[in-house]
Amino acid sequence: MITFPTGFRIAYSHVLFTFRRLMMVFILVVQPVFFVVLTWLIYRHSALPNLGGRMILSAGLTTLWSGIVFSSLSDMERERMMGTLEMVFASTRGLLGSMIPKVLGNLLLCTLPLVVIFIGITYILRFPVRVADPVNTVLSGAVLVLCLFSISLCLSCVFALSRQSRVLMNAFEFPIFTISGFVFPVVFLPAGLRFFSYLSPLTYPVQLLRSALLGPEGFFSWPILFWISLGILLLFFGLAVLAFHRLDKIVRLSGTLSLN
Amino acid sequence: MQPIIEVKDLSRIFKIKGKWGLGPSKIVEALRGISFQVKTGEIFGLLGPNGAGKTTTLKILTTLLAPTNGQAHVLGFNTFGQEKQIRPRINFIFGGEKGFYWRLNAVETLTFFSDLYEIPPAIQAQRIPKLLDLVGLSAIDAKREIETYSKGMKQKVQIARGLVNDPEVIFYDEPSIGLDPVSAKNFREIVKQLASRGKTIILTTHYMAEAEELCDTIAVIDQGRILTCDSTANIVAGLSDESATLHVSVTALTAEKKSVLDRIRSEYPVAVTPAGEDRVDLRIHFPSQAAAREKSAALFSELEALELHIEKPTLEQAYLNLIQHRNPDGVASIPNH
Repeated sequence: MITFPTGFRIAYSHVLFTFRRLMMVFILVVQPVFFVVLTWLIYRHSALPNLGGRMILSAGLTTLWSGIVFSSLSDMERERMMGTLEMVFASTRGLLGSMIPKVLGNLLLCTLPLVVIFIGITYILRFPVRVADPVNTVLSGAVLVLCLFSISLCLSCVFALSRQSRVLMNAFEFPIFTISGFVFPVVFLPAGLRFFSYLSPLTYPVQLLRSALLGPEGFFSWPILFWISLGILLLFFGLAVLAFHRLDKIVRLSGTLSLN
Repeated sequence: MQPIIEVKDLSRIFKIKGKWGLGPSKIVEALRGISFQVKTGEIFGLLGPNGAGKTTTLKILTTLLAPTNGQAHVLGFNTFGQEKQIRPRINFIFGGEKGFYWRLNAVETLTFFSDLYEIPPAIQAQRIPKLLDLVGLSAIDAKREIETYSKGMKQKVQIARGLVNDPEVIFYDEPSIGLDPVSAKNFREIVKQLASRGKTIILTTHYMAEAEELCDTIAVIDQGRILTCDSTANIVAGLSDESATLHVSVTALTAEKKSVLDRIRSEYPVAVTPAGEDRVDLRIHFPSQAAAREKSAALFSELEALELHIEKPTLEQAYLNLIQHRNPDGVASIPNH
C-alpha cells in the first residue's frame, strides 16, 4: 500500500470536505464562467494584441486569488464557526501544520476553474492564446502561485487573531484586483494610483506572469520582476512561519480562538 | 502517587473590548486563584454553576488559554510554554453540536484528526474501527455524513475523536449535555471503561447523578473560586445538611390516613405524589436524621405503609447546600470536611 505523507493526507481530507459543499460547485464551475463573460465584456471591442492571453490572465488571476487566498481565509473563519479551530490548534501538528495542507488543497481545487476558463476562452469564445515566452510563463506561474500561497498563510494568521478581519478582506478585495494588475496592466492606471501598485506585494508576481505571457508591459523587466517576486515569496513565507509561531501565544493570551 | 495535573493559584482575567475596539472595555475575572491536583487514573469532576470558571480551567489545562497568574502543569509540563510536550498526550471534548466537519463521515473525521495527531496510517487502520466499536457506531452509520447524525451519534463521534491519539489525559466539558438517557448511560460506561484502562479523566457536568456515579474526586467551583475539593463520598457525607427525607409509599388515602397526614403536615413539610391507581408516595422532610428515624416506626403502622425508607443524602443535596450557603464573595461558609 502506498502511504502518502501526512500533509497530503490532510490536504486530501480538506479537498473532500470542501468539494462536498454546494457552494463549491458555484466557486469551481459557475464563478469562472462569470469571470470569462466579464473579461469578454471588457475586451471584446479592444484592439490590443493577444486578447485570448489577456482574457485568460484576467479570469485566471481573479480565480487564483479567490481559490487560494480568499478560500483559505474563509476556511479559517469556517473552522472558528464550526468549533474545530481549537481542536486543530491544540493538535500535534498545530495550526500552521494544518493550514499549509489546506492551502495546498485549495490550490489543487483551483485547477478545475482554470481548466473551465481555458476551455471557455479558447474553445467556446474562440480567442486564440499566444504565449510570448513559454518557459518563463511556467516559471512565473509557479512563483505567483507560491506567492499567493505564502500571502494566504500570512492573512489566515490575521484571521485567526481577529474575528473582524472578514469585513476588511471584503472591503479590500476589489481595490487589490485593481491596483495589482489582476484585470489590466498597472501601467494603464492613472499615475496617482500607480503609487499604490508599487506598494502592493501582489503587483510584482502578477506583472511577472503578465510580462512572461504577453510580453513586456512597460513596468519592470522580467528578470527584475522575478527577483522582486522571489523576495516577496520568501518574505511572506518567513513572515507566515514567524506569525504562526507568535500566534500560538497571542491567541491564548487574548482568548480569541473560539466564539464563546 | 505523583499528580498528573497540578494547578496552583491559577487566575484568568478576560478583557472584553467594545465593538471595533471602541467603547469601554469590561474586565471579567473568570478564575481567582484556584489550586487543585489530579492523580493518575482518577476521574476528576469540576462542578459549578454556569459561568463559574469550569470551561476556562479546562481551556487552560488543554493549552487553549494562557493563565493570567499562577501555574497549571499537565503531565509535568507547564500548559503555557511547554504545550508541545502536552498536546500529543492529551485530548478534549467540548459538549454541544460544534466541533465537526459536517460533510465528512465518521471514518473520514477520525482519519483527519488522526493525521493531525500524526498517527501512522497503519495504526489508524487498526485503531479507528476499534474506536467506532467502542462508541457503538455501526460500519454503515460511520460512512454517512455527520450532518445526517442524531445528537447522540454526533457525541459518539466526538468521544471517538477524543481518543484518536490514545491520550493519557482526557478532558470532557459537559459531554452529556442534551443526550437522551440511553446515550448518556453509554457515555458513562465508556468513561468507566477508559478509567479502568488507566486514563485520567477531567469532567465538567451539570448532572449531579452523573458526577456522583463517575467521579472519584470533585471540585466545586463558583465565581472563579474553589468552594470545596474532596472525594465524592466525603463531599456527599460532609456537605449534605442534617435534614432527612422519609419516603413512605401507602395505598389509597382513607379518612384515617388523611387525618394522620394532616397531623404530620402541621409539623413537617410533606409532598404527596400519586404513584399509580391505588398508591400514593409521601415525602416527609424532617429537620434531622434522628427525628426521621424516631417517627418512622410509628408512621409505618399508622399509615399502613407498603414501603418506608430514609432517602440517602445525594451529591445534588450536598452541591445545592454548598452553593446556597456561599457568601457573596463566592466563599462557602460551610466547612470543608
